[in-house]
Amino acid sequence: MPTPKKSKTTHTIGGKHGATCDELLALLNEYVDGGVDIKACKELETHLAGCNPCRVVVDNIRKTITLYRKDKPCELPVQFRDRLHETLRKRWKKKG
Amino acid sequence: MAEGATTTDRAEDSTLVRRAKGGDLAAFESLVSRHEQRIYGLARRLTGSEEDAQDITQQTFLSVMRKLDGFREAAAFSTWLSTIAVNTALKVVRKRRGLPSTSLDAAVEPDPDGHVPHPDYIADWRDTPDRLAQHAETRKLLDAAIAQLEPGQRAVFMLRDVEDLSIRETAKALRLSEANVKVRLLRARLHLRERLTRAFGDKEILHAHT
Repeated sequence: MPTPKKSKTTHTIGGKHGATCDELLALLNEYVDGGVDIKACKELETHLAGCNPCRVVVDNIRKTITLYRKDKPCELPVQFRDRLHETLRKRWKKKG
Repeated sequence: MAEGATTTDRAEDSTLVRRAKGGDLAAFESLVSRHEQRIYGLARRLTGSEEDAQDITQQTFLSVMRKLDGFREAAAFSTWLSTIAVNTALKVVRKRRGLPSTSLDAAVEPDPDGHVPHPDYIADWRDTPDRLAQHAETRKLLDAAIAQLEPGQRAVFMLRDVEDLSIRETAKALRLSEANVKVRLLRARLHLRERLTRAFGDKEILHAHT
């Protein structure tokens, strides 16, 4: 799947190690989300066992998702929170 | 709360929704308090602006107030809420960019089935996500990386990977096909991986095919 850093040759392994890099790329979402069937999963894992760059890319993607889930961007400003609740209370009373 | 929302969270939301529908302001305010931080954070990530995030958070809860009677709980409240927030945010982003308020398909990415870029910079990360998340610098890098995505990719990534909606829920929320969501998600994940690996990757151990 990954393009070599210096050479432009696309890496494909063919039948030797199960799936190819491109096949892994095509199924990357499903593989990362655990949504591939057992047969395809086995082929992808055979490929990953012999392809370190692909293994690192999968690991990088999992860490990327985990990091965005863990990071809580900016606390809600207290003044804004007070204003928000005040606005909502007024609107609620208006709607009756 | 959508992120990893438990059955208990959903049940508590559901009780509050029913009370709010019955006219209980305190129940409505409890719903707001339970979700306001998450919605603000989501809006902040989608727009990159504190001012817009505040505006979107307020508009979202005003919409919830207006639409609550029609909410049939086919989805979890948190999912419904995220959907409203993301669509409100996309309207703001489109307005800011001078784009028409048409569907995401037409407005943002005309070639959703096109080329998917191959990973280029491949390296193990120097640290774990847990430890990276503790640094203030990390937040800036996450903001900068996601800001480079097209709004549609950003919305898909946030709904699917951060808010934990399914592909089907994400597609429904954004009025896209599931295939389109998958393409956007893949591009978003690959782009963010590339950017973050350039920042967090171990430069001493670059992996390349030989």
